[in-house]
Amino acid sequence: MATDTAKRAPASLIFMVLAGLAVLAALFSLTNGAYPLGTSDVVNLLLEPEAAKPAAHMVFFDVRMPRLVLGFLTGAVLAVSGTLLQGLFRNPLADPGLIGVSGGAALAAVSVIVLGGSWLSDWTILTGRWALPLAAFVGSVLTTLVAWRVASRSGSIAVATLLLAGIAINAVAGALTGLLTFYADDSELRSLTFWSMGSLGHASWEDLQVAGPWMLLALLLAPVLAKPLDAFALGESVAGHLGFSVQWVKRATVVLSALGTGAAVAVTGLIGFVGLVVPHLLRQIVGAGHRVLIPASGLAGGVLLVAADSLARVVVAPAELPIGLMMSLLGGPFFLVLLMRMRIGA
Amino acid sequence: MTVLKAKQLGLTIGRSRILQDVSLTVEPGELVALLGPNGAGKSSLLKTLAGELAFGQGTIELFGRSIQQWKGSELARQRAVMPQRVDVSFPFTVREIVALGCSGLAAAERNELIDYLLQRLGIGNMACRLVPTLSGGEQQRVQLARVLAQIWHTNGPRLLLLDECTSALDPAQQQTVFSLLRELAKDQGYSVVAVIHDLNVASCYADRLVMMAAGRIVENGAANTILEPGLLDKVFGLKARVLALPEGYPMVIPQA
Repeated sequence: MATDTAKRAPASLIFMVLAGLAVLAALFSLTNGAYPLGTSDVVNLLLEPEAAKPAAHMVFFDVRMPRLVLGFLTGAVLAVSGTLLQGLFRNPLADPGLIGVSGGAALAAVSVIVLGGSWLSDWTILTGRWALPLAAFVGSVLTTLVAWRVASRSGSIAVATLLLAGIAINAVAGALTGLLTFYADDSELRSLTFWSMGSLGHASWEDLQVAGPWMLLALLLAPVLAKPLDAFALGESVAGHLGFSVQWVKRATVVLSALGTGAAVAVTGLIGFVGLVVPHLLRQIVGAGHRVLIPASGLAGGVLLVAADSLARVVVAPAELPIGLMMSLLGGPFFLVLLMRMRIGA
Repeated sequence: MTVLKAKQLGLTIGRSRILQDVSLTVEPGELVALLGPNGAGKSSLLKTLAGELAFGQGTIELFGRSIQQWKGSELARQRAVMPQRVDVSFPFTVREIVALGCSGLAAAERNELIDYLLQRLGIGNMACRLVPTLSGGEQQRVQLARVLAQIWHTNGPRLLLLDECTSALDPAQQQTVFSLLRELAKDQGYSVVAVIHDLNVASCYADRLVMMAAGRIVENGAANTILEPGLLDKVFGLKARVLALPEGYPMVIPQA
């Protein structure tokens, strides 16, 4: 029998392994940090929260738990958005950042950081401490709509144009963001830099209240697109012949990925490579079928980000690396190697 | 009931007129071959009939209902389309691709149908292979299996629109495919409209030949009347002899 016969682990095994890894990553994340908490402490805190020392209680429930939940949700939603966009564009190199979501979110957030005291004071007064996340969210949705508008001709979406529009939008948003840094003072510059490198360091339940519902919504609705995206792998016209409403699938995919990514970027800053690497890797293991690929990507993305975030806290302790930086450091070279191997294989 | 009725279709893309005044009807059980030189509008006609291209003039009725009134998901149960080429962009297995045509079937029934179709098309041992690693001819048969699966279990009239569905196949495989198509037309009442380049294959298997040139239908009839040296020269610029075979259909022999 030929060697290119697909060797695939059964889906149930994959999900069990991923769930196991999720538990391990969660434990690693919860027990790592300046305040000492062991595995037994974690178990005790979960079983009898009232019995714990106030400091341990505070660290566990107000610092590490929100960070864990936010990290997992962010990783999951970025990976699922990447899976959806790759399916839509029929291209394994597509990424949520590609259609302008991240660029738009970054521009809006930086605007609030730099101009929050002057031009945008109305916005900051109106939205209070949620000014930054809400602005990033609005920015990502707006830029997606712009890309959408540019790419739509008489009611249909040209995917290639959408990609090019994303590139143009990212360029403009990047330039405007750079321009804003000239007007920033030192403290603004610091928070701006930190945000653009991506971080889970300030995770709080408030952030989760703002972004969590949208991320969950995107995650829960994504599996609806599994079947149509399988058909899309054969091209738009074939998907149409098979009875799927092509325009509906395109709209739903873009809206869901913008919603999820926008919400994630809003509270964590720019974290790249999750949406690119996770679906790409998983496709080699579970196959290309979206029924398994979408939920598996979600789980794996969550695990990856939680694990990377925990590492980021360990390697330069007591300081911590921004998670976005960490992901780019790990993901960039890894992805290059992957590309080279693909080229040799082909 | 007439399966397909197209009346005076006109299609313009940009400034070029792709189809002009094309009328075509197809009855149940009929295998119709679309012939013509490159650029004659065969694929465009097929895409228009598939609802892929919006036509400017004329009407299309499928199964007695105007094409605009069909819901995509309903039409997909009675009409299947095979494009000239389909690129599979991700590492799907053969079984997964054919399964895309089997919506609504239970797993056991679906696998049985997939195995049967792959068997009939001579790729029965390839169900677990990754489609992007297959040869062109193998991939073409995978797509054909998917297209056949889509309307296999439908009751009532069914329509297949096939655009050069055997272009990558060797003569024996071509024979397998067209024998199967003719069997489906004769025994199951399938209507088949197939773009075919090989004149002799069309002559051998099709009930009716439709000759196109420059966006129009120039002749429409039995092989004996269409495959005629004068017309072949006029439409293709092909110098050929035509032999009447004892089997009842003509054979075209290009002159050296």
